[in-house]
Amino acid sequence: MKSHAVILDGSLSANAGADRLLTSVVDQLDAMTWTSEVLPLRDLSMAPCTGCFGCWIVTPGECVIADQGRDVARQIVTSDLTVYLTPIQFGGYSYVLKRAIDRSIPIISPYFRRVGGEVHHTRRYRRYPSIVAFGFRSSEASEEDAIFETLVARNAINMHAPRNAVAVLDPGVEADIDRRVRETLEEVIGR
Amino acid sequence: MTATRHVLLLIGSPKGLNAGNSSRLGKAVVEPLEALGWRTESLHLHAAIGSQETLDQLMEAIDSADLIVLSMPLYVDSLPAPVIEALYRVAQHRDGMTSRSKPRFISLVNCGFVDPWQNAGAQRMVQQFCKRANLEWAGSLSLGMGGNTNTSIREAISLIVESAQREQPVPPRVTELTRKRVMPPLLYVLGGNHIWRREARKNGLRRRDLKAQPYKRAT
Repeated sequence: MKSHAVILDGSLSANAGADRLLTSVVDQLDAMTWTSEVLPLRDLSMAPCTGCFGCWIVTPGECVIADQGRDVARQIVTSDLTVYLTPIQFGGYSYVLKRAIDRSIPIISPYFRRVGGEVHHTRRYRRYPSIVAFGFRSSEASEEDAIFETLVARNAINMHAPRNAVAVLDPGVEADIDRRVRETLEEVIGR
Repeated sequence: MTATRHVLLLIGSPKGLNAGNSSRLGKAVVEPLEALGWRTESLHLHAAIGSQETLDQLMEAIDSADLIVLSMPLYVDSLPAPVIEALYRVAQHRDGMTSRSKPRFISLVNCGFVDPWQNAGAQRMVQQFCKRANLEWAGSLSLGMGGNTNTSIREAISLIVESAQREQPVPPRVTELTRKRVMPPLLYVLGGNHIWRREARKNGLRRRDLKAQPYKRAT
């Protein structure tokens, strides 16, 4: 069975740069003989997380809100790779992508454990997808790039991602997007 | 006679203005300022992004504030999605408006882990927001364990209030007072896991139910 990637498209609107990046991610995965599915998050019906912890202590493993947020969480945890595609907002994800990530906490356990001198949540499942994040911006490099890279690495700890990789790029000026995308994917899923 | 100063409290928790840890911590800062004669206003960011009318109210409140205090929980190493949306709208609104007043901005972040430093990334994002929105970053408070307070943390909150009253940045002493955990991590893990089991039991669940795997993949 082919390995499968879920691509969380967190762009706020249709735009040429994001579309170019998305097409490249799909093409490169295909060339690496992976299947992929794009989730256009801005078009999905998904309420924000209400912080009720119902997904941990009422209906463990599933959000109590019956909307497409449930489907997204299921698709994430049954994939081999989750790709984040997002404009960088203040060094973090777009609110559209973040809404999906906030709604994905049912896939981890409420139980705590100690990891590397910190407290984190334990796993609910044996396997979790690796994470590759593509952050795009239409301005020059800034402190936000480093904040973004740190965020992805922190998320990988909390979401039990076995591996993670990050690329920050400006699709409008990037000379060879396909090469950049391929090299970033290869950091996590091999050649 | 000086004009009455205006502090705007922004709550970035889904629990709203009058419940939850973010509300409690935000009030711990703005209520003493109110007692010192400041005019206070509180807005819930999740509600503010609901319509153009509430967004306009948010922009007006931000533009007219002398001090803004944002209090929120950490969600997956970052800001809750509705807070990102609200701050994105504010940054759009204030983009390039350098002639506008430049309110000072303090952020209070509490996380559900015992390690207060896990809020560091979220605080850096708020700083970047302030740059983009032409607001003056005045400092922060990062707390673990849902913002539980002890003597040191209460002292830190008093220092934040004092610095706000004097229109100065949050002093470095606040970080010194709050950088340590309020409880040993092993104790937090054991106590926290006990609370999850207890709360689940109230909902009629058995211990093993908490480990349910509804999305287990076919092998």
